[in-house]
Amino acid sequence: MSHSNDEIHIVSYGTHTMVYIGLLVLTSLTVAVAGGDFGSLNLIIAMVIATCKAGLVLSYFMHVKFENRVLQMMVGSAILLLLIAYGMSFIDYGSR
Amino acid sequence: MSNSTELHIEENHDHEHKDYIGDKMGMWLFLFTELLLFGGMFLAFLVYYISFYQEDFHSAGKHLNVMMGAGNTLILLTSSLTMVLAITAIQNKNKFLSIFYLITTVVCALGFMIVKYFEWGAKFSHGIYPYKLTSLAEYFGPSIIPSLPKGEGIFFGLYFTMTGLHGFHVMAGVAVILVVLYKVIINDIDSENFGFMENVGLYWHVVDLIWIYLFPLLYLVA
Repeated sequence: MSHSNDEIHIVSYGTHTMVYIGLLVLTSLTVAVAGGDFGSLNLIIAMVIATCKAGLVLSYFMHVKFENRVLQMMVGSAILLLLIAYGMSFIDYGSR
Repeated sequence: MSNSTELHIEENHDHEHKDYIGDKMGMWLFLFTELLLFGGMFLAFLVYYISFYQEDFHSAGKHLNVMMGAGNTLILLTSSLTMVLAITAIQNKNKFLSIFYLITTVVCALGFMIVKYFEWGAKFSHGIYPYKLTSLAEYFGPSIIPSLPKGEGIFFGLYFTMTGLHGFHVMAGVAVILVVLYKVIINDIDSENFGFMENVGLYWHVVDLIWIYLFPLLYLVA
């Protein structure tokens, strides 16, 4: 097997720090928004913000953005499977 | 016979054979099982919350301390940052900076557990703990869980299970990060060979990812 060191992408200190600041901003946003009363929208807003944070962590901290296509597809299909399980459960409970 | 001789020669070669991509994929497969483990619990939480006990979950969630939860989010995000910075440092051949960041990561993780200790301690002293643990009654008085509405009992059951399992993962993370620290110190991990460190980093970020969803769901639904 070929040595793949030349393919390795080193993410800079600066990029990581920017991602960290973004995560902090989103965390304050989620705490601030939780104070307001948007009814059932509260949960959806909190989950959308959490998913943005998860996307940042996955892409940069976990390096998925810079990985090869196979690994990206593996990660995507694992998440898709989980979403299918969630979707089917909610179709079930929502229609009772 | 000739085969083993060949292998022997290869092992003595300057560049030991490592399957970098394969190691990483194996780690990701393990992380997918973690995703399903916690995913199932989140599903249970969401179904109970949305379809059955919305009011009870709101009133039970008010018992949780948002400041402690937000503080722990900050601590865990910081430890995630220092973990990736430790990897960047080792890739840039800066061993001492890497050691500094790894130690910071471990300190943050322990800080998270200390906050968790006080949080759980406060719950216990209010009589909020699994009521079948009768031995705790002599320290904290009788558990109030059986007297709560059913949905609140379920909320606290999920709260203790999810944060408890997450806390267990934090402690496991501390253990493997200490192994990385040791390997960096003895030069077993360096700018040429950091696959193990990256995989431990991936595990640590999954611990962070889980908390990213746990915090708003448990602390902010109220």
